[in-house]
Formats: sequence, structure tokens, C-alpha cells
Amino acid sequence: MDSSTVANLAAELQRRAVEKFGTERAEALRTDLLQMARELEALHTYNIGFDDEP
Amino acid sequence: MNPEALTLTEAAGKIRDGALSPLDYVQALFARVDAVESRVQAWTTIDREGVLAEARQMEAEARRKQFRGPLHGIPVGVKDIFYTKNLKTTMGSTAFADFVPTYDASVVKRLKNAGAIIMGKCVTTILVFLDPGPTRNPWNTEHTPGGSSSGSAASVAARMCPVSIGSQTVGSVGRPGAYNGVVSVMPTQSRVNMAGAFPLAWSLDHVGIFSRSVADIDVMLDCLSETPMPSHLRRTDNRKIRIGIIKDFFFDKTDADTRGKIDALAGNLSNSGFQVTLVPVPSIFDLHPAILRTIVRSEAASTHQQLIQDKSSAYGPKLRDLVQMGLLIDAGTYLRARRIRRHYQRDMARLFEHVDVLVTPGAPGPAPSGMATGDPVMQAPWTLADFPTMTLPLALASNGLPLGIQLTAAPLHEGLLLEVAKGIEEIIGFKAKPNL
Repeated sequence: MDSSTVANLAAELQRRAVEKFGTERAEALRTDLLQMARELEALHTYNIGFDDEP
Repeated sequence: MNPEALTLTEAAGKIRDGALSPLDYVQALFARVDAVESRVQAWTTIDREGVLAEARQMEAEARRKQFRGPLHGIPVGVKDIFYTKNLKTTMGSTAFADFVPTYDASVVKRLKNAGAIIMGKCVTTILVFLDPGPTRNPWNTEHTPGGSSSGSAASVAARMCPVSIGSQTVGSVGRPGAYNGVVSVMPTQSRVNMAGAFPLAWSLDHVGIFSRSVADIDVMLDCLSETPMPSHLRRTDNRKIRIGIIKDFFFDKTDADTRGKIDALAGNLSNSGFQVTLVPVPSIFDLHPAILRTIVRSEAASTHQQLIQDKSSAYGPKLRDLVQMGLLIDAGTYLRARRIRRHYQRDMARLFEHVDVLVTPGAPGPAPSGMATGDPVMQAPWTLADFPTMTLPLALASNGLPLGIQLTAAPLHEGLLLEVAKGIEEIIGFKAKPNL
């Protein structure tokens, strides 16, 4: 997993959290958001084509 | 006779034979509730007058040899997220403290049609997530009963009712099943209808059942099933049943006591005529936490988006975190998770090309002490796959709390799962009960 991609994704989630819930709440979620960024990145790197339905 | 000690199957047989009156039965269970409920706290609502009236009616019918169905006169606990007509349904939250549904959930209708008496509503964690309710583990009240179906599992373990209904989105049936030393099942999602239940994540929410024997689960599943369980999926012919033990991932997260007892069971199964093999998991297995959490967060956010604004104080911290994180996930990512889930289900289903039933631990160990409801890690892979799963009590740990095993079959193969579970239940021969 590309750590810079995860960091970018975490930063984007953090930005959205500040916008929706304010700085204090976004800060409280920071560790969880980093973990979520790792998970979302794992989904994004899974190879799935538009016609690849089981 | 101690009516509270009877399994569903035993009680139903005695009611049919006239050896047990439905009224005496519920009165014995109420006496048990009076004796232990202050310590276990498994119930949110019991309408005693309503239950007694229903039991009197059932008794009159039984005297005339009229039986509504296989559950005639059997009291059943129902998790407090399933709507019950004219009976309070709180979802474990102050947001619904006074909510009285005007109709029954699908499973409640089916229970009533089969002759069951709805004994009361069982405690759920707050809004079906990880924030605990008051229920304690009947084996040791310093310990959690697990969740979210806390009261459903504890009420059966404590002999306050013979069977109960719960639900599972990640690990809310199997985990409390293992922690409380009872039998549990999470059927394939399409097997039992969740309509009329408060959702957490609708594509993952499953109905569950708790009992003290596999035979009881069989009876209940027959009553609740939307589709008949085909006989060819129940019979196992004359060939050896193939049991697959999965150690990858599961054993890494399990304590030494549980691992040792599962290894010993594998030996016993082999000696008893089962064909036992070790089974590796496919590579996509590693993705299951990411797929599952993305779906749960997204769907929970959708369910709670308005309610959390209107009733903010009714939320526990864990559900608040879940919902707020879900609100940050875009639609494309959620849909990608749903698509990858289908790949996961396809690849995981291939495990059953070589085995009939998979065996894994029911929980990482005995129920932890304190309020936190424990780790659903053993159930998550199967809930995501939507494979029917049961837990059986296996043995007592050194601290006197139960350990469980988990059995999993291919989708809609509940009949086969039950047959195998009956055989394994007999081999294990678990007879212990909580000393309340």
C-alpha cells in the first residue's frame, strides 16, 4: 500500500470532517480516520473491472 | 420437574402430552426472572398480565388438543429492536423510550403463528451497536454477555426463557452465543426476514436465534424460515462428513486455551468418523475488515443521518464515531465495497468445494470482564460472506466462563449445518450451566 496515497486520503477525510463536524471533533477522530484511510485505500487498489461481476 | 430447565423441544413435547401446562410454564419462568433478573438484567419489558392471559388461552386450547403450531405455549424472548404490536420497543435508546409499534415484525408474526408467547423484550446495546446496555453475563456478572444481542443470549443462558431472537450485523449473535454458553445460529440473510426490525446496516443485518440445544434451533428455524429447507441439503448420504478447520487468522486471534480445546475436538471428530482437514483462506480474505467496515459505516450513516441530529444525546460514543465516519465516505467508495463483497462471497464459497462445514473459534476466548462487549472478529468474515453460522458451547475456561466453537456452511445450507451441529453437540456433550 502506498503510504503517500494513504496520507493524502487521510488528509482529505480530515478536511471533510472539519467541514462537517468542526475542528475539535475532527481532531478527536484523527486516529480512526487514518485507519479508515488505510481501509479505503485497500479497496481502491483491489483490481476490479467494469465488467468483472461474479 | 423444573420447567425453567427444559429445552424448547422438551417443553413443547410435554405441553402436547398434557404433562406441562403453558400457564404453569410461564409462571415458573417468571419465578426464575424474579430470582435472577436483578443480577442479569436481560429484559427491558415484560408484560406479565399479557403473557399470563396468552398462556391461559394456550392452556385452554391445549386441553382441547388444539395446537397452533410447533411452538404452542413456548415463551420466547425477543431482542428489543424487533417491532412488537402494542408492546414497547426501545432499541436500547432513550430516543425510543416510549415507542410502541402498531404492528409486529415479520419474525414476531411467524413466532405467534407457530404458537409462541412473546415473553418480553430483551436488552440490546444502544441502537444495536457497541455501546453496552445493563445486561451482565450469567456465568459471572463481572463479565460482559457480549452484544448487541446481550439480553437475548443472557436470558436463555440464565434459564429465564428457552429460546430467544437476536440479530447480527457483524458479530452480535455468535459472540454472545459463545460468551454465554448457549447455542446460536445466524441463518443466511434471505432465510429469515428482517422486516420490522430497527436496522444498523441493512445489507448485513441478519436475524439470529439462541437456544440451549441444536434441536431447538432446528424447530425455530423451521418456524421462521421464509423458504423450506430442501431435504437434499439436509441429508448427508453415507459418505463421511468433511470438516474444514481454519487456523489462518482465527487462531492468531484466539487464546491458547481455546486453540487447545479446538485441536482436541478435531481429534475427537476424526475418531468419530468425520473427515477433518486444515483449510487455508483465499487471498481476498485479508480485505474483509475493509469491505465490512466501509459498508457498515456507510449504511449506518444513512440510517442515522437525521436521527443523530434530532436526538444527539441518545447516542453512545461508539455509534456516534461510526455514523460520523460513515458520513465522510462517498457513494462511489461505498458501491465499490458492495461490488468487492460479491467477489469475496464468490471466492469464499469455493471453500465448500472440498468441505461440508468449517470450524473456527466462537470467540477469541471467554467473555472479557467489564462493560465493553468484546470482539466480533470471529463472526465478521461469515456475516460479510452471508454464510449460515452456528456457535456451540465447547467447554469451560479456567475462569469458569464458557468457550464456544463456530460452524459455518455454504449459503442456504442450514439443513446440513444443523445435521452436522447435532453430531458435534453430541460429541462435545456440554452439560454445564451458570450458577446464579
